[in-house]
Order: sequence, then C-alpha cells, then structure tokens
Amino acid sequence: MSKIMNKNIDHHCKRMTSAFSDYLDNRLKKQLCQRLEVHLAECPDCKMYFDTLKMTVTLYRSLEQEPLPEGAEKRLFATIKLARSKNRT
Amino acid sequence: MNEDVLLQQAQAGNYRSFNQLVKIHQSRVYSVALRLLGTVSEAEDVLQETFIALYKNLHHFRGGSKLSTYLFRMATNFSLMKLRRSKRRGHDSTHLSLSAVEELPDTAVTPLESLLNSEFRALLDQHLQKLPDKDRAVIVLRDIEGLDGAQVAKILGLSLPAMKSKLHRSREFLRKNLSVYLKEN
Ligand SMILES: [Zn+2]
Repeated sequence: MSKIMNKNIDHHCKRMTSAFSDYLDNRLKKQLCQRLEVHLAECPDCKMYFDTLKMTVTLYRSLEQEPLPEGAEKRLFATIKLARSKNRT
Repeated sequence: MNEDVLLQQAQAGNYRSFNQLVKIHQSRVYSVALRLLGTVSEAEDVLQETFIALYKNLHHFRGGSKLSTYLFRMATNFSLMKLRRSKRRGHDSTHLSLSAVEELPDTAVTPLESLLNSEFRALLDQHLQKLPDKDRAVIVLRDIEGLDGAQVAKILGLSLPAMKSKLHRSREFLRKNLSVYLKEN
C-alpha cells in the first residue's frame, strides 16, 4: 500500500475496529456489518486484530464455573441456619 | 423441580426449598465473586453475604429470572464493596493503565484447544485482575457469565453506552495482552 493512502486507511481501520466489539455481540446494523466484513476480507491487520479479539472473548465465554472450596457449602448452610434462627426469635 | 415453585415454597417458609435454590445458584455466585476478588476466602465471604441477603429479601421476588439477576447484583456489589474497603486499607494491587502492555514470553503458535490448559487460564485470570474493578465486573458479567448488555449496565449502575465503552476497552486490553498466545499460523 502506498504511503499517501496510509492516513486514510488508518482512519478507516480505526472506525472499523471500534465496531468490532458490537459486531461480536451481534449488535451491529446489517449495513455496517457488511462493510465490516468486506474490510476484514481485504485488510490483514484488521483481520488479525479481529481474530485475536474474537478468540479472547471466546476463551472467556468458555470458562467454567469455579467449584466451591472444601467445606464451603457446609459453612454456607450453617450461616443460613443461624440467620434463620435469629429471624425466628 | 421448577425454580419458581421452589421460590414459592421457600417464601412460604420451606427451608429445604430455600436450600435447593442455594444449591442451584451457589457456584455461579461464588465464581463471579472469585473472579472479581481474586481470593478464595473473600469470595466465600461474598457467597455467604449474598445468600443471607437473599434470605432476608425473599418475600420481594415474583419470578425466577429476577432471582438470578438479583444474585448477580448482590455478588457484584458485595465484591466491589470489599475491593473498595481493602483499597482504603492500602492493600491496592496496583492496577496497570489500560495502555500498559506487559512483556510476555515469546511462545510458539498455539491452537485454541491447548489454550484452554490451566496455565493459560491462569494467565487470563492474571490479566483480568489488572483491570479496574468495574471494568473487570463488566467482563465477568458480560463475557464470562453471558448476561446481556442491558442487564450488566443495570447491575453496575452504568448507562448502556458507558457499559459498552468499558466492555470495548477491557476486551481490547485483554486482547492486547494475550495476543502473543493467540496468533494463529
Ligand atoms: Zn483495517
């Protein structure tokens, strides 16, 4: 790409990247979606940016719930029981 | 058993039904607290505070979906309160600014499956802890727990645009810090 074009392209890329988060959440208007997809197909920098962003979010979404520590459920029910008995008196 | 039925029974004073509700939601509540706080003992405190709050406010509920939103809200608020308190006591784990990028070791290209190993998870958590508290809460509720944007904004007392800008910024921060591990062939 020529140097003269760079400034315009950077500006365009910046506008595109700011829409990535909404795009991942299916929150972009259809028209903008299409423009973004066209841009991703022709701009390797944005494609790399988008792919890593998408993978980050995908990884977070795949995290499972943390198991409770040993004995925590027992302690929780004991605390609730205590609150219940206070409530009754 | 249906959660709404359990709720009605719990409201009528059936403690077994209340305990069932606790069992259904406890690990979600604990996970949110742990990811916000980063320490097991504090997360367990929040777990207890959240369900005591539920017990005390039980009569306010009419339907199931509101219950889980309430639990998310309480777990988040109790956690953020704890973080504020510990900061005042001077235990601040200095948060990096969003533009700061840590030096990451140079690793080979990694496929998605092997990224989910425990080492990488630890790295995810480590970077998550570097975000400002509310930004972290946005990621935890939106991306990890899968709540929709409007719910997250409401829980955190943010406008929808403010929530979105935090979401965008936080994702970008995580992407920047983790991208060394994410690059594909
Ligand atoms: Zn571009």
